[in-house]
Amino acid sequence: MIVIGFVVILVFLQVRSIFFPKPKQTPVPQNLSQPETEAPETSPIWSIEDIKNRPGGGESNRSEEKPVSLPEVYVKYPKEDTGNNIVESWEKVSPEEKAKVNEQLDKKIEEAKEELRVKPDSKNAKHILFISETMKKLCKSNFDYRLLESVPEDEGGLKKKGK
Amino acid sequence: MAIGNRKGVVIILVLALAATFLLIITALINLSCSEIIQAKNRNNSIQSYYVAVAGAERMYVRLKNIQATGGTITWPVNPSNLNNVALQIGGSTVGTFTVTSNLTGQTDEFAIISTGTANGRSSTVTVKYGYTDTYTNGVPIGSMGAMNFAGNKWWFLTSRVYADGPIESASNITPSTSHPNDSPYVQFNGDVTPNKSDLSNPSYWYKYDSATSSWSAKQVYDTNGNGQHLTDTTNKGYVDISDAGGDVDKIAIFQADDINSDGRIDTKDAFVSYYTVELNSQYNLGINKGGPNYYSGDHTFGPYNVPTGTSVIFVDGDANIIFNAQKWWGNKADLTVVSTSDITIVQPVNGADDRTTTIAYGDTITGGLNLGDLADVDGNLNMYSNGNFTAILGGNTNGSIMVGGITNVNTGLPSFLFNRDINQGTDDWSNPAKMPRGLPPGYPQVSKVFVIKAENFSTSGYKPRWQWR
Repeated sequence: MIVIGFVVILVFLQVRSIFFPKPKQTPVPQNLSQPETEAPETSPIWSIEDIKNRPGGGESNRSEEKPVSLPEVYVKYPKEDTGNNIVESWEKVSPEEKAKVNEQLDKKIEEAKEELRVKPDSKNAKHILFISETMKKLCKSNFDYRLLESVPEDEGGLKKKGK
Repeated sequence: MAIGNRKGVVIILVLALAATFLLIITALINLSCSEIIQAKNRNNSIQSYYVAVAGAERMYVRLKNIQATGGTITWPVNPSNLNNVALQIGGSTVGTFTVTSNLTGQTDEFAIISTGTANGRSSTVTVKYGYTDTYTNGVPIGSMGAMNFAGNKWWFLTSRVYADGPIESASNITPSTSHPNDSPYVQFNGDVTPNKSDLSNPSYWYKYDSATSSWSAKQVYDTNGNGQHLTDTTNKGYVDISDAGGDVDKIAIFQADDINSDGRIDTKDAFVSYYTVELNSQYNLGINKGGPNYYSGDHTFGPYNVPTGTSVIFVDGDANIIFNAQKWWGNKADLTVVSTSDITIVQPVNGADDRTTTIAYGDTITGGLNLGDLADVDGNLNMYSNGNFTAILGGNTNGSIMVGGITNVNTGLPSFLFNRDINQGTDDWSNPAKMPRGLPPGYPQVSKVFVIKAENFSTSGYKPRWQWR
């Protein structure tokens, strides 16, 4: 009788657990100020402003090391400050696409020159020619734009007086 | 008790046997029931997940309604009637959900958190969305004249035009919708409104009174604002010396109002006066004639040409800009270039914390390559052109474009490098610190109180992120 009693109790408990499961613990509300994908609070957190304000990191302390080319800008400064890395993006472009860019720029240059032959005062053609020729130079040099060449020598640049 | 009485052994043996039997029975029952239990738990979990999703959808609709009615949102959104809501199907309750929404701490991102409970099992669904809040900015792209957008397509290769709206013109817009039927080469996101009657070109006939620190409208042709001016007697659209009729006093008035000495008084005089006299007088910008930030004749600018800290330059001629007229790294750059003639920008660039504004009395023309999903202009580039606006080749900009004349946006050969993406500005102009400097009075603006970012509409669209636990 004792054994039968035990078995009945056991079966009753099992059946209850099947049809009336113990409620799962209520989930703790998510801390939205620190999303799940973010690093834990102990991770170093920094901002551009912090970096600028650090001793030795601000603009005024950097005046002696002016970047002379665009690629150097992307190396020296954080992406948030420089924007998309044009040099890196251009390097990733396939030779076929680069050829297409050249073809397009040549076409624009030719069209603009043709228009200027007919209408020498066409400012629109002049501007398109300027954009297309400048882009062609930039692409040819892999966007290795020399930043100081348009800046006069007495202002710290590379432009000779009289040029 | 007699020694050797072993009757108690029977009880011990029976209990031991019973215990062993019990263990065996327990093990057998557990084995037979475990699969049933697991299936039941799984069903309940899935059921609670769908209940939670229903809660998330309910909150999303609520937020969308706030957006549609132009309401404001106070975070966190925790309405009592979305707390412990019974979800019913066919009259029977399948579970309950509680849903809230709050900012995540990431820039322009909020999350909906919904917990569903079914048969004692709970699941929490978190969905994260991008948004813009209390947004005021210039019209993303507006034009008094006709607007033409032309992408390029060859087989499956495209160079597309993508433009965030509202797109507004006082004349025609071609194509008038995403063209054709959301084809990949001209895409608009938002309202496209041609023939908009209340769109107007900004005016420069304004005077700053330094005594009262206030602005007031000038009479047209009264460039110096002294109350004396000639009238356009023959409806030419400007005033010239003939309108003085040979009167010496009137000739003197004419000469005083012809501020740029080009022989006629027109909106160009108002433009020059607005910047070099009135605005300069208010902010001491050094853009008065002969001032340190006044450039005579045509100029080509690169990143080091305008010193850091300069906020506005005035160019009496064409301004050609390669990348940017000021270095944009190292410091927050916020430069406005004003030109009495045309502005040409080759491959415009700046960083996320920067702002570039160009104001041309003549035309504006820009072109470059679209080098990646991230904008080459990561900050904002606002372009106002009293004349025409032309975009050639490719590029990716954020900001406002307003044009007094005609707008032409073309691409190049079918290649992603010639995609032209014109995205909304990211600055909130209701914050004076984020308002571009020097925009003319009456520059058209748009305001949106709360807007959930478009979902994955394009590479620049926002992708909601779902998490379940």
